[in-house]
Amino acid sequence: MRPSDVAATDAQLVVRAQAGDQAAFEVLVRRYLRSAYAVALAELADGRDAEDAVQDSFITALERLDDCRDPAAFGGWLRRIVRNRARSVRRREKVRDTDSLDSVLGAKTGNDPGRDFERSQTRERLQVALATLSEIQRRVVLMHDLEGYKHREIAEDLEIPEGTVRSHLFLARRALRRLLGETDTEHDDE
Amino acid sequence: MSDGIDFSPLELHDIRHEQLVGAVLSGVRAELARRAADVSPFTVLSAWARPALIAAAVLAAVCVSMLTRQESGNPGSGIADELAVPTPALAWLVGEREPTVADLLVAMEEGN
Repeated sequence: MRPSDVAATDAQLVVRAQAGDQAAFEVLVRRYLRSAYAVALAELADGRDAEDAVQDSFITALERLDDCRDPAAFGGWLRRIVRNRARSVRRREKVRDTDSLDSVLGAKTGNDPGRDFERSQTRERLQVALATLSEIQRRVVLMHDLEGYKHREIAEDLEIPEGTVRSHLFLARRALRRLLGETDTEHDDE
Repeated sequence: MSDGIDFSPLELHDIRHEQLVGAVLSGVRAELARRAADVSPFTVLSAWARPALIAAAVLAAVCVSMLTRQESGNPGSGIADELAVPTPALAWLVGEREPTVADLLVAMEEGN
């Protein structure tokens, strides 16, 4: 991957990917994988399912790349695909044990088993807590606190008023803190 | 974001991130190869557009010129005239015979 690829705009990369340029598509994958994961996680509240949904979504995105009418807005277009894919997975309660990334690539996260275990426990608690939130609250809190989106960006992406975003964020955080046993010291921030 | 919930355990750490990138790229390899091999009709047309336009323009110029001459009552010899084919060469073409060495020498003399 050349430095010029990394500096290229979404529109340039999309056009190149449409012609089968792997380097260009790889840049798009690296650029949007984390935000795609956050979107999937908001829908599914399960890391492994979210990873599978992200993987499927990128494949779908490439297959439908010619339908991306505004290549400059590739990120938003991809997030819609991820969201739809994740919802579809959730509706069907499709659990793909045999084809999960873990089984193919291994679930090891680092060289410290103790730390991995602790991290795994915390992750599980977070996922259980997230699963209790409403879908919209989960999406808002993950976009804001996991991905670092601003209130305005979340409002645009979810097509809801900014004030509603703030409200959902407040309620989601409060619910999560209670469930996770943290002290409720909520302050709304940007 | 000190007031936010700490979701770092849910983040894709670097190793997992790279694994997922690898899995995605592995999954799209066939589609990328298909796209690279696939030459769309638009690509073909765009590649041919310029020479086709040039050919059409030359043809149009010749045709318009011929029509203009015919309308003005000057019979000429049509395309041969427009393309400035030398008179001796035209005779050889019309007579369907190969020029001899002597013909060529005469034609060269006349050309000078």
